Amino acid sequence: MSRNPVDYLHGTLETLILKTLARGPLHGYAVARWIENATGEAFPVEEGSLYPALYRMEKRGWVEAEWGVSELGRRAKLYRLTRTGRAQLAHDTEAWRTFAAAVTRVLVKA
Amino acid sequence: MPRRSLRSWLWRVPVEDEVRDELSLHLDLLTRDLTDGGLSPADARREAERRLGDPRRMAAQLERLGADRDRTFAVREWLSDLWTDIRFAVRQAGRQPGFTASVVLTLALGLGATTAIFSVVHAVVLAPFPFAEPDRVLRVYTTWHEGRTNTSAGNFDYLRQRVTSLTPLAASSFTSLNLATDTEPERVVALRTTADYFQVFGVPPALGRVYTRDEDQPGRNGVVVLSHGLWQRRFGGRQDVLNTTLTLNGELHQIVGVMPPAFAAVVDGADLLVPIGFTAERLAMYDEHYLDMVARRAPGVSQEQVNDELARVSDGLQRDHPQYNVDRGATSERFDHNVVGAYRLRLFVLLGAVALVLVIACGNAANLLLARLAARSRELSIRAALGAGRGRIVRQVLAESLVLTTLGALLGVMAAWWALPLLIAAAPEGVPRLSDATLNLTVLSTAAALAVASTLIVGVLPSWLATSHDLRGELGDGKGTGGAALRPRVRQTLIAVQSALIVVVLSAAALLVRSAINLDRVPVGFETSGILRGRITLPEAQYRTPDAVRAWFSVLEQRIAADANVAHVALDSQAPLVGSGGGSNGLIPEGRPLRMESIINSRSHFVSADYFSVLQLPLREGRAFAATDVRSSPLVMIVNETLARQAFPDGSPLGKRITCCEGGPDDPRWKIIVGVVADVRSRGPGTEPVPEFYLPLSQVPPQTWGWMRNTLDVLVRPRAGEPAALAGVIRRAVGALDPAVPVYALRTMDDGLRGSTAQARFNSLLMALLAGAGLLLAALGIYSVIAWLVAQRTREIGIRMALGASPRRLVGQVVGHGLLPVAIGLVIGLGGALLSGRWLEGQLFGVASGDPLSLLVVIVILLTTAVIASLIPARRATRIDPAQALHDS
Repeated sequence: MSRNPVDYLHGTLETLILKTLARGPLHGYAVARWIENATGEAFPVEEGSLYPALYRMEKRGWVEAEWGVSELGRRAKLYRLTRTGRAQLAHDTEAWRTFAAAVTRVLVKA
Repeated sequence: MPRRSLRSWLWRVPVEDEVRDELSLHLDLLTRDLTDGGLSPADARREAERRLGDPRRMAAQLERLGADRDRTFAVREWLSDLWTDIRFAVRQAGRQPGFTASVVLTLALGLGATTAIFSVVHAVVLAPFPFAEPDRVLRVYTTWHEGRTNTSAGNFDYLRQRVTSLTPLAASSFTSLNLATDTEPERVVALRTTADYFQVFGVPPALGRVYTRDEDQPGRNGVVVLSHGLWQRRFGGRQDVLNTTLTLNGELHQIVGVMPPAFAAVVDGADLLVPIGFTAERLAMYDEHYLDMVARRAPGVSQEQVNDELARVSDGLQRDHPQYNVDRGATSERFDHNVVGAYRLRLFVLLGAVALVLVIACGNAANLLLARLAARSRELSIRAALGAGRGRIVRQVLAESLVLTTLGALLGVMAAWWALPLLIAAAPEGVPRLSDATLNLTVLSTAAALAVASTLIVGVLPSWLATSHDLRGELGDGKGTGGAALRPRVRQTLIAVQSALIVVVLSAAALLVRSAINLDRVPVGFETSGILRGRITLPEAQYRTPDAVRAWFSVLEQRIAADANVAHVALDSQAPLVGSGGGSNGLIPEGRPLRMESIINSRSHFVSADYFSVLQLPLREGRAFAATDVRSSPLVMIVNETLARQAFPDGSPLGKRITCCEGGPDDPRWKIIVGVVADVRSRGPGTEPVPEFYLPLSQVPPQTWGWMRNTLDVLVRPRAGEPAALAGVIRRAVGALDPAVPVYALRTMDDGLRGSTAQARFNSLLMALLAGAGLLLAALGIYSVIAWLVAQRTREIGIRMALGASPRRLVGQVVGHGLLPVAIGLVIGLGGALLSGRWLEGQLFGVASGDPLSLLVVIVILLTTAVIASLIPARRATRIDPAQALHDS
């Protein structure tokens, strides 16, 4: 799925979710915390956008859900990266690299 | 296909619960972390709730997204299951090649035949004609005494000037012309038309232009528009033909345009079009009816209004020109309906028969599938026990029938593609647009739709019946007795339905075959074998006077007669059985008032002296023509028996007089009847004899040569051998007199006779083929049911035999199981045959639609087939070894 640059703000959350889940299945709360920690709190994850993003990604087949047990001992919905999701992550990573390099070239060198 | 997600198997939680659990877990974890960060539990809870925003809105949004996601999953899963089913079905099909082949071939036969026939129906009847607004294009007729006739130039001109609801009204007339070539002269069919003929159809030329009003004038009409066919044939489709010239009947014509291929259906295959160029004299002639009229309905005028106006203007015509127009009217009909006319019903009857055969084929396939389901009832039970729902099993059986019908349809379309050219080649001449029949997109989509319909017929019934009982019960007894589907009643019903359908098709075939046989048995009235006939036209440009034409033909006749192998030779203005044209004249017998009302319309033959010897036409009374019957001696006439009866009902016509062809009330130019000859069915064995009269060519008035357009048939009978061998004699004699004059339509009378019954033979052949295929299918159906019954009842039969039942009795019982449904179907089918027979009536000859003999033949054929089809498996029952049978079960 290719994106034009305007989509990046929106798409970045999805890419970060994919990256997070690449390490293993997690529930939604853990995904949010991990992203915040990994970005040094630079990227606050709002619940209002996290869960809709997860549902949409599930529909697209990038992630799939299964029941697991949370650290509170309760039933938890765990998200797992699918093969399609992994391919999407690789694609997004490459696209981001190109995008960032281009922006950097303009901002830093020019 | 995506891998089936775990969700679909194990996680069937309502989406509301899913969202509630997920959000509450989130809230609890966040609260815990905030508490760990130092907030009081109450503050932590409040902070967590604040961050989550309005929980109700959030939940609603997620529920919507979740529901959308689940719908997507459901569709994806259904497709994926279907794909699995289809792959399973393909494997199944490969595993049982015998079963697969019989079902696929059965369906291919039904679908292939339907596709081929439908492509013909589509091309001839359904495909729209190529002109703009076909509903406005009309054929216009003169009506006279309930019949439709051609129109005279005077009457046409009268209508053209007065009828305002037709813009324009155009006239045309078929003629054939000699096309001079470098090698052998060729005879071409030409359509002479008024210039606005093209406007009626609104079809632009493919190349160049059409002719103008100015060019449609006598003396200025040396232009020609080619048909696509002639352009390809004679000029290899070259673009530079425009403004080159053609020599037609000895006169140069400039080629101004070429019409597109589709125009051939409009002009009924004419090779070229030339302006008709009415002279003022021609437009003043009201009695020679030879024109066809076409017209375009003016915008905003209905067909009824057109016909009202035509009737009104015709009344005026009767008043203004009473001498020739008593009782003459005019009416119109849609052009396309008129062209398709008789073929519509005929082809739809055929299509109906094919559809019945397709249903029989589907019934067979369903029957076979049922039998296999019975064999698989244990597998189905296990699947049901494992939780497969009824819908799931139905879908799986449907997938199997889909695979089988798809294969059948592919094979059937291939067969249709192969058979269509054969069908077109075998068809009689003159079926409009038949050569356009192809497997085009419409035909293929129809075939696809039929395949889908067949899938449903084949698959739904068996799968539904096979699951209409508690499948889990099957596991109990280990063998399985089968569900509702697997009880004999259902399969016997199928047999009954198939029998009823095949009776309808068989009856139609029997009636058509009998008609064709009857047609072949009808004596046409003269000895057709041993006659060769050719047609010759002398170009009017070179042969201008009646005397010159008469002399030319007279020399030709003498030269042909001089050949050693020619027994008899004669000339006729229109020989019987060939061509559809031919003149007709009004006669008035002596003793009746010389007015229009006394006229008897009669077909004319202007013949040479030896004519009746060539035809071996029996002379009933009087004498034949003689060399002494010349213009200066008393004028003589020979009539056929029908005319003799009509003109002189009270006694022998010999010596009585008739006026015809020349003269008027003041000078009737009486012709004395010197002979009466037998009736001839001159338009083919399917027609009744009409009044006909014969005049010697040596006595005909000069204007008759104009009516004949310098055209005569030459008829020869050899002393020995095949008449076709005399073709060279005729050609050489004509070539020696004028090398530029072609001999055309050269064929034997027997060929002509076969041509006139070709339609009936073709219809009966097609219907008989269909009936044969349907009968074979029905026989296979009966066979498979009886074979299955025997297999099912092996144990019972074994017990009976052990108890001393006689094999003969057992066979009788088993055969009875097959014959009972056949007999029931037969009775229903006979009713259907009687009801549907009326659609055949137009095609029947010498046999009524409820003909008892034909129905008896059908009954015998079906019962014999059914007995044979049941006997084969039934005899197997008697070979059952009782001990073995009891042991196995």
